[in-house]
Amino acid sequence: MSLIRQALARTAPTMQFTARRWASSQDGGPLDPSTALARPEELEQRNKLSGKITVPVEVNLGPISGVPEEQLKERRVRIHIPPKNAMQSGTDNINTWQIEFDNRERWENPLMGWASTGDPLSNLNVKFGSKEEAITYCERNGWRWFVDGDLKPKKERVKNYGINFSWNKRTRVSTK
Amino acid sequence: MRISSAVFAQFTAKLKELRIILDPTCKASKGARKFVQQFYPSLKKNNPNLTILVRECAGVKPKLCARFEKGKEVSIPIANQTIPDIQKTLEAVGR
Amino acid sequence: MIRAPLVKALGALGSPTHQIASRAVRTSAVLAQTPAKAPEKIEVFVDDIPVMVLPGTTVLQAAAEVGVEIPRFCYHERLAVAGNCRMCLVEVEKSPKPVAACAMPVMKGWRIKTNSDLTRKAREGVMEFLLMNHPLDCPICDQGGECDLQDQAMAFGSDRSRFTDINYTGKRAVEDKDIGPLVKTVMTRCIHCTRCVRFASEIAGVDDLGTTGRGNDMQIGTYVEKLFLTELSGNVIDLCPVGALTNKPYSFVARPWEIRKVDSIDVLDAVGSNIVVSTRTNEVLRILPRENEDVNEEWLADKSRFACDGLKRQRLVAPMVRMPNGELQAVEWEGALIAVAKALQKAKGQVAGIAGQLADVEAMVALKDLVNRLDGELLVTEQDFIKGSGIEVRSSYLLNSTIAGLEQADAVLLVGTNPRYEAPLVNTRLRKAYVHNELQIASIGPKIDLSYQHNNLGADPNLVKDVCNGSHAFSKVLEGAKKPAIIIGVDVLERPDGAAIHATISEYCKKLKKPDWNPFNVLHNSASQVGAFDVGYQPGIQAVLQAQPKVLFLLNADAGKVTRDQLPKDCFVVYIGSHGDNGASIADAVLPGAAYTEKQAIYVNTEGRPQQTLPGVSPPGMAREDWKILRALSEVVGKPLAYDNLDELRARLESLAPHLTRLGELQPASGGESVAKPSISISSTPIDVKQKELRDYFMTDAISRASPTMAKCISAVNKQQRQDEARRCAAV
Repeated sequence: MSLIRQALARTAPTMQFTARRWASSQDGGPLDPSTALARPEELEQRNKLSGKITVPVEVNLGPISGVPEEQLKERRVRIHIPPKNAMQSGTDNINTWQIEFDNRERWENPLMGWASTGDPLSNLNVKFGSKEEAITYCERNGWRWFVDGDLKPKKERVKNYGINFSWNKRTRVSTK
Repeated sequence: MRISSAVFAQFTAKLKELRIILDPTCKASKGARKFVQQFYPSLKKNNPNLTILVRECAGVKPKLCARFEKGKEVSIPIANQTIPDIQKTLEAVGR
Repeated sequence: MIRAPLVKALGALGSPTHQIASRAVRTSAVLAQTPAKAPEKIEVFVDDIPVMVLPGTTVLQAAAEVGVEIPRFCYHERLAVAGNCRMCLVEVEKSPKPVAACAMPVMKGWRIKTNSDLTRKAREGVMEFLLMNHPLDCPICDQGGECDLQDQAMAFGSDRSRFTDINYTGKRAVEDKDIGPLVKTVMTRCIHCTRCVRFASEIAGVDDLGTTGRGNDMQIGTYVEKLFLTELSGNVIDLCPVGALTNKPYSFVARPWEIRKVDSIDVLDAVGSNIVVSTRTNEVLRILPRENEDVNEEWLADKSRFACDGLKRQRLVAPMVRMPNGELQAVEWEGALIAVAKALQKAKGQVAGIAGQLADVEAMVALKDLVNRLDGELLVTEQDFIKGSGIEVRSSYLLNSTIAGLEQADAVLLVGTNPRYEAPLVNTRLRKAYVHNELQIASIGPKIDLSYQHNNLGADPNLVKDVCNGSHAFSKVLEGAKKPAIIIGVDVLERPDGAAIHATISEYCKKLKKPDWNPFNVLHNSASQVGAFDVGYQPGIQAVLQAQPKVLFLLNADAGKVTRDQLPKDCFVVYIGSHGDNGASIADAVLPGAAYTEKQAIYVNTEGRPQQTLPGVSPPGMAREDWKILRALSEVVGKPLAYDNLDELRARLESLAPHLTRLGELQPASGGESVAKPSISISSTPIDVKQKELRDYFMTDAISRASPTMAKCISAVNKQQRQDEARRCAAV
């Protein structure tokens, strides 16, 4: 009995394998796209590298991004948190970091009076969640950057309605 | 440590400006700080026409900068130096 | 309700600001909250999120800690709590009525619901009431696009109107009030939040605005025909949540979505307020404040805010050289630079430079390097200071207590300074300390109207000696205070006995010094002064006039202290600056520079904090940045400077004074060492101050002199004074 079982166990995988029926004999099974679409040279390269590890190198997309060299070399990026609008008291958008480029000349277009500029990066204002993300982005693009200011912790204020009516302190309200 | 003020008599007229850059808190500038505290009044008395600027900043290595004629400048680091060393450097510069 | 420490009835002690009363009640609202040991935090639930807060925080602050912003109109974190708009009503469980979040302090275990049905209904109801009487002015209102009412109506208001009264009685209308040439009022739009009233009363110190009438007939205004004339009047424009108070020179100019904003620094006084320059199509349209807790909080003085239209007038747009017939003629850059270079080569080292009020640190360093290379040594500032070792140790020319630190002071002596008009935002700090910290202020100088009560000890300079040797009554106040401060103005240090006064006060401050607190302060009134001293410029033009140089560089030097007849006949004067003012009129060569909104430059404020301006627009015509002009000149002369771009120039700054490149940070300045006794002792000419009245405040430098808005302000002040005189004469 056990011998038959052993024999069955030995042949089980192949039996399982053959148990999967394919729709037609020409079907080779599900394809792995990375091997199926790869060119033979790529496959060869992959096999050569299979025993080695890859160390990440600084990414600089500047030379391949198509941005003229003068723009890469001479522009400085300012990474900052845009200030809250003084005219309003909403604070929902004062914690995002933003990059902006140094301002170049703008002039009034003689045709319509709109603002013309010769600066292709004048409207590039990307928003980020943190200073580090912005710095990584600038480094990857090959721009020179500087960080202007930081998130300031909110000052704790004491708000007490009663001090408006204090009888001996100068916080007593003198107008209505 | 008492040093006779004659040591700092009259620097050369070629020396136009002296700048001492130091860090107000760190250890490497301790010598520079003590030097300024002790010797600045006598330096000034003996060289009333020489501008001696003392500029502090956190996180810098202390330096002694001297400007001569025609805008030539010399900058000597004085990190971790004691007062006699700084005196020697200053005399060398002032000659 | 939190209870302040119980104060015994002080009976017949009269006025609340009596000295003994204030001493016995040595608690401000802040001190009441933070005694020696930190009080235990209490737990509150905001939208089911638990948060631990100090006892005494309001519901609004507790919600802000969680990240929930409760809508409000009248509440402002820097003003007193009013609680009259009712927009901040939130539901608190087990409370019969919704609670005004801005005023109600939390109790332990409260469950606050900021988004429940009751809260939403309350907000919709309040918004409905506000909009009932609010005119349909959005298309013509300047606040459109940056209006709190618009945003909160969209976010919290109901989507349909129930206002049928428009067919019967209609909406309320209120007359506009004339409160000056700076603030435009359309009082129909006013929602009576009273932020302007509270600002004028608490921060500006003038109780001019108030409410008249009740209910539907309530109006906010000055009641009598009075202009709202204070140096901080522009801040009510920022505070007003609707378009009732708007910027008059900026009315109907632009909408907020077509504006580009650039962060910068103000240079029209020495405070270095952080500003936002709003531009469109290369024009500066308006200037708004930026929040900086350490310098200007979120206020901005009037000159800084409204003098921006002076940036368009009297501008130098082309290099000019004076022809033999005495006229200045526009030339190309090469021509102008070659003319200057020729004069420099003939001068053979007799070159001097004067830096004026608006000169930036980079240009001053470039000029110093250039002049030194040409064997010149005379680089001075137009504004005088004490001679001798005044510029060598930083703490002898800075506001050492720092602007934010002055808020904590408890005794201040002002010597020869009127901070109200020399540095309005330092004055707001002093007033803040006066209101919250029981500050006692005394002044030695002429009788001036500060926005708080102070004790004028007289104008005799010998009082300085009396106070400093402890024999005056006020010395006891200074010595007994935890954070005393003595603020000296630069006007008094310009006098011949200025060095003696400086030395006396400096000695006394060594006695008053506390750990982490240096009581010796100098209040400057020009933005370039501290930067110039940091870099190594000497104060005062006497040395230059004595030396009679052959070539004189005027770097933004427009105060008119140097006149042509003081200089030798063959002196070649080169003016580098942005406006055609006193400096350009005596110049032989005019090289047009950039104003502060057009360049990236470092300015150091009176407390020693370096900050940088950023360019919002480009300089007009052929004007260039100042340091670039000097770099080009150095190339033409044959002694090229060692830097070609801003980074290299900043590296040079780092080697000169490394704190200049650590922007926005204050470096601790070491204590002053004693040097030789000053030669002239304190004389008895009475101490006087240059800016005594509001009229003197508006035009103090080249940009504000060129501004038509500033001119309108001065004429408004004059008109008001004439009206007051007429009224007084009529009453008599």
